[in-house]
Amino acid sequence: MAQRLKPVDVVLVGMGWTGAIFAKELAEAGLRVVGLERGVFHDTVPDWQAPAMHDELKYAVRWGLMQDLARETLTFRNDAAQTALPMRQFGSFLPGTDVGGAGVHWNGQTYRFLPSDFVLRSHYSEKYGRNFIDADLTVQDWGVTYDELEPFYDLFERVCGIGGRAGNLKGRRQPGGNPFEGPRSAEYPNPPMTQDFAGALFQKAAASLGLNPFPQPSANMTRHYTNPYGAQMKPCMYCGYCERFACEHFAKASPQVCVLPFAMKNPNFELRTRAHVNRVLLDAGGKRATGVLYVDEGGREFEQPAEIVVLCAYGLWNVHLLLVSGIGQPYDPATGEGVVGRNYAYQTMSSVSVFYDSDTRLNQFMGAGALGTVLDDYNGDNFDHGGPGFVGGGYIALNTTGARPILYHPVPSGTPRWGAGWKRAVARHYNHVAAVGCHGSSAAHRGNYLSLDPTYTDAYGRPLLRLTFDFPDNDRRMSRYITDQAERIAKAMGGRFTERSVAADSTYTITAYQTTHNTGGAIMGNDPRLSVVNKYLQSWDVANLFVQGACVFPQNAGYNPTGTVGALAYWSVKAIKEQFLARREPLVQA
Amino acid sequence: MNPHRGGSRDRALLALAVVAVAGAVVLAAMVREGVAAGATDPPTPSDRRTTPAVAPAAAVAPMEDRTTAFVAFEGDPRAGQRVVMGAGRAGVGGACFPCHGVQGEGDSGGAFPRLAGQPAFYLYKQLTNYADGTRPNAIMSPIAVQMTQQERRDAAAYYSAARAAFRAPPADAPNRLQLGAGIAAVGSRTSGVQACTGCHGPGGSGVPPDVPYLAGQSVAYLELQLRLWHEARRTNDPLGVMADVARRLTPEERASVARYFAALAPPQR
Repeated sequence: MAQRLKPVDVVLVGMGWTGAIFAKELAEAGLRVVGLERGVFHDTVPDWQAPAMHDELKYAVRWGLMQDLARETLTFRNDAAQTALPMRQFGSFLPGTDVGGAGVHWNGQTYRFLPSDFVLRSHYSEKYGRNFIDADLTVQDWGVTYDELEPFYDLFERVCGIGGRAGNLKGRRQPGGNPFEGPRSAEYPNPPMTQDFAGALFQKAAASLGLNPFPQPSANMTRHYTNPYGAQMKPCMYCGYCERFACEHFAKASPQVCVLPFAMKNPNFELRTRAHVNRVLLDAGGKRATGVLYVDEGGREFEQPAEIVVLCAYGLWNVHLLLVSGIGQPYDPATGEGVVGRNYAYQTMSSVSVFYDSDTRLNQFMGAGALGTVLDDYNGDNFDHGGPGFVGGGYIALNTTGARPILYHPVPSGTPRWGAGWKRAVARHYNHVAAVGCHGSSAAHRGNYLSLDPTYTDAYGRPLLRLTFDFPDNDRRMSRYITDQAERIAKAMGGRFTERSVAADSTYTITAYQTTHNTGGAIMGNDPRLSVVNKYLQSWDVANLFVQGACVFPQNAGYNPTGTVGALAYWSVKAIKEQFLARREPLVQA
Repeated sequence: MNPHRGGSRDRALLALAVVAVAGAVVLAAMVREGVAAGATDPPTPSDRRTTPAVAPAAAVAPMEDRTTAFVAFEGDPRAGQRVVMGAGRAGVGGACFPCHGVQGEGDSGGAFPRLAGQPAFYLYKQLTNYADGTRPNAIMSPIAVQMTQQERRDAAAYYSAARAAFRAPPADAPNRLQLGAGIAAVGSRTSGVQACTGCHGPGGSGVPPDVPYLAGQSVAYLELQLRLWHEARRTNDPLGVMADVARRLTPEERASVARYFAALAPPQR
């Protein structure tokens, strides 16, 4: 029997980026806020310090900052004809755990989506005709526009101290920035990172082909910076230990560095760690959330009553909570009915490696998570899709994130997998390979979705989340086209030969790492029959329940999601403060 | 009485006398050549047979062509030995050994750091910065200004290759060493400072090419440098990290961390 605790105004489930933002903003608005985090508290000092933090075996190979799959995982299958099996090891993506969530172990690549990304279906239908989009794609508009989100993108970028170069300031094109981006109200708060040698080779080749390279927007600091809350951040040392690691230098934006200290010093906010939320509780009518049920470290069960419930866990687990709590109608791919779990999307990654002579030393061990040179000429609808005939695109980039010793050993195909031949090839190529990456979009498809597994349960007795996914044909065509363009650039970079690798050339495999950009399942929109939350991320079914994270993306764009997740969180929390608190009812009429 | 200390004091006095003469010579030379700071040779063409050094972060705008921005570092220890012994352009007055020792053992008096086994690029960069004014020093700047770029490389290569014995300082108070060790290994939560070892390597053993070792350096030298960073009298850190660290640490923390590193044996490379 769960022990009933003292009611609070707001309970937050998960304390990553969105949890921290909601804690800070709602505690400041005078509400009594409790943040529940399944993991532990950890912080720059003393937990993240080098050289212990540079333990690649512990953090990159053995997933030191990721969730415990022995307690909770998901099952996977490529299509509905298969029987899903549980993932007992990480592979394709790496959901984090502990305070700060994936905001601790991310790279810091921080993008805005294009204005046309937010109106995807109407944009393509108007421009290329109503039948242009493949019939089996369930892509749709977001219900929110770029112009509405712009001030919140700007705020999140200032909170994170993003370094970059504007390409479009209030409609005026800026040299050196991304000419395709939506208009920005202000320049980035910090200058771009110092370009590396490989990035410079990419830039030169791209410019020679008439393309528009620009520095990747980065949450790795480029100078001493104080954010709007007063958080002091320090410049990045280019140590190359960002992704899968925490930053020891106060140099990578994270909830701990940028936001949480300002929530924690507010007496209205209480953080409870080792608190695993298993269910959202509803009233008898099922139209109002009354709080959440959680289990603490000792296995004791608690009911935390609250007036407002905000799901701030990793996107996949927000969808899982909705499903196990019976909120909203689960999606059925056979009929196309239902919404929860619908429009799961991912990212369509590919790359072209350039192999150089041994006298070209790239020294990519001097890197940073978001150190990169990018071009957007083949992203979104920045190019004519009439000929190619698919939806979407992706950015093409040369990223130098750190050539770490255990996992980074690029060798040409045909190299022996082990032994003296392999060692010779690693020694020959380690410092002489540059990879041009394609960060492709992911179109929502009627057969790709999240649901509850009929067979397997987690440590708390709940059915596991089941993922059904394969690359839609649209994305296979898109990825081949984008990779062709990347190959053209790669061949102009002065190497001896190139090799390409396209994930969508074969069936999606969940065992090989691709990217931790899982989206959808609790998508936003203007129509309750086609979305789980409205444009303010408020549940259509339960008005005092809000859902954050990339699970609200109707489909995924050709960018990293965190910038948009942060912008949506600020947009949503503003609507709560300025509209919902006064009326406590649906902010959009169904 | 510690004979080692007495010897150091004698060497220091000798050095000061030498330097006083040298200073006058240098000043005259500067006036003659109209050089304010930094007599620099033309940049060396890129030579990829050697390890490229890190280009200073602020020197090149990011989206310029950086495909040729990496500068090679190459020094000759034999040629460096001549410079160290006073046969360089800075002359006898610019000899390194009277203060830093023939083997780079330094001087426990504090003004003259141990140089043996320091990364060559780091030593070369300091000589350049003594000359260009970002690390102004009454003794070193006039000497460094006189040296050619190649002499700086060679002298740096000499001391980087040198090996010198280490004599541990007298034991300090355990609680003070413990505070210093904590800052070194995990930083200071109250002061918002990251661990020293993050950049300076495990045990303060240095991370070549551009981060010096701290282990076995003298207490007085380490404390002095932290004070210089703190007072912005030393500014040759391209990202301003040391200034930030030194500004945040309390005087007690600075003293403790200096004593901790001074008690460790320097790295054996």
